[in-house]
Amino acid sequence: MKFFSKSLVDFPHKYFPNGNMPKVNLSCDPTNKFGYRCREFDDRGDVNILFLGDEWSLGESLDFGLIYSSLVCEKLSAQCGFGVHGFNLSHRDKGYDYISRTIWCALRTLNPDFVFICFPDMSRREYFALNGRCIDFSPAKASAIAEKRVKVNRIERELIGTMRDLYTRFDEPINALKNYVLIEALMSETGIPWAVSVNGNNAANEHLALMFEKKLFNKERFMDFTFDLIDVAPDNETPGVKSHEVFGNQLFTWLCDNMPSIRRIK
Amino acid sequence: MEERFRLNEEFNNFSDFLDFHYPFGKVPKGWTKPPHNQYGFPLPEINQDNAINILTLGDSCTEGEHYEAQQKYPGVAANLLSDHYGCKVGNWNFGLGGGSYDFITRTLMCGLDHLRPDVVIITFPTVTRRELFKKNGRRIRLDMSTVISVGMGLVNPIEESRYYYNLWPAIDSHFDDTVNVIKNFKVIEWALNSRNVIWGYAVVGYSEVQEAVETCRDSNWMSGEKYMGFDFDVLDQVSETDVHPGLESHKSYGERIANWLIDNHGSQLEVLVQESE
Repeated sequence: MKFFSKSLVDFPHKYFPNGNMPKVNLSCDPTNKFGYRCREFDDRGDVNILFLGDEWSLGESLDFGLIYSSLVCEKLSAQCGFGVHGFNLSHRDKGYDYISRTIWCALRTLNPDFVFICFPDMSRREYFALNGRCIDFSPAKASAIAEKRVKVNRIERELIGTMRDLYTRFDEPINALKNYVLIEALMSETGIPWAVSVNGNNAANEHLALMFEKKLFNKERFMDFTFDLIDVAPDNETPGVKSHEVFGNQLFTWLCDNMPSIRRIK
Repeated sequence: MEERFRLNEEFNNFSDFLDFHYPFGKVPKGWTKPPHNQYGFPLPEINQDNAINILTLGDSCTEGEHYEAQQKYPGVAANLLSDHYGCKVGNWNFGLGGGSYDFITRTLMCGLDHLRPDVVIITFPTVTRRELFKKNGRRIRLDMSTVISVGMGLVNPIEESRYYYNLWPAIDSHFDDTVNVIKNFKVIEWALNSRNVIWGYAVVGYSEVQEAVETCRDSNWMSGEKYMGFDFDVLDQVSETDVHPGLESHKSYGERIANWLIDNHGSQLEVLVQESE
């Protein structure tokens, strides 16, 4: 009788569910049954692509059809003549921890044909608190809380304040590296093709060149273009329509040129 | 006690830091006092001239600092296999006091292709221990038992470390530790499976550690496929005040590992022996 044992209670099942995707709570509307800004997971196309990133890739203040994941799938569908369905699992304020966790869950449940990741800031983390809740940490959020620009409850304020004092400039990229290696492990194990780009800002790019040089990140996985902030969305923070259009076109061309299966269809 | 974990390394920049802690294609530096080998581990220089090379990883229980190499379980297992197959067996004991899941992953991720072991045996330490890097880039291991020891005055850390021990209790969380464990384990599993290394794992035989790892296995997010089916049971201890496994524990565990390897990977080991002849 293990049902009520400590061992089952102590695992964060909500964030690592078996046989399902973890539910998220995005502020944009509409979302699917699991809270992601994409079609329902059982609404599968002939080709199914996962997109992962942060608020840049989510584009929550833009129309759904104007974000790069929608543009890429629309163009690929038109080119191929059959349904290419995109599942955008991007999430505001998240980083490498969220991306590795979500890919892990998605590979067990969604069976994608291709996975695209647009990496955000390396300093963001997920922390699983004693009550089992996932708390998003970033130095920027910690500053905003300390300066009372963002309101959170007392426990979250103390936890984030402690993390700000504890984590160093060395820990941040190392956490990103550990998650990158995990993603590489997960993707290699399944054999599903995947590729990576990064947000075109300093926070995302700062250590990349060094990680490539030291062979800690596999440069071949990274596209030679980044998601650049050419214009700004109505939220005054994330990439605007033009930025999504340019990045979507680059990604579409890259997929046509580099993905054997898509090239064959083409 | 804390002095054992200090290397006093200096880093001018992030590149230096990576070269030291994440030297891809080399072995990250261990942190024992001399005498140690070129990698900073308390064992002779690595000799590849063996029919079978066994790399063991773990914490202070695996390091077994009070005992001679042949008395510790990696030495016991290597000797039994050497007798069984009539060949030279390399005993690469990379166990280190303060070792963690993070440390084991880092060592394998960077050093596996350099060391090229035939067999890897991992005895996982407590799940609550984490590896962080201080503001000056030096490594620190953080766990509540060390924090408590510091609080009781049993351990006297240097001032720069005391700062981190003071902060840690506020964010110590078994949920966070569990996530750290399954992530590390997945990387380890992939690193070893993708290179077709013969490997198995167990945990140190303290009930809270066994229960925590069982939790991860029960969750289906940590594979039990390579679990050897037994742990490093503490049948005796070093002394009345030192609860690390004693000689009888090392002997018993080493014998079980040797038998497990012969029973489960005998044909692969025989091929290695034949190829070396």
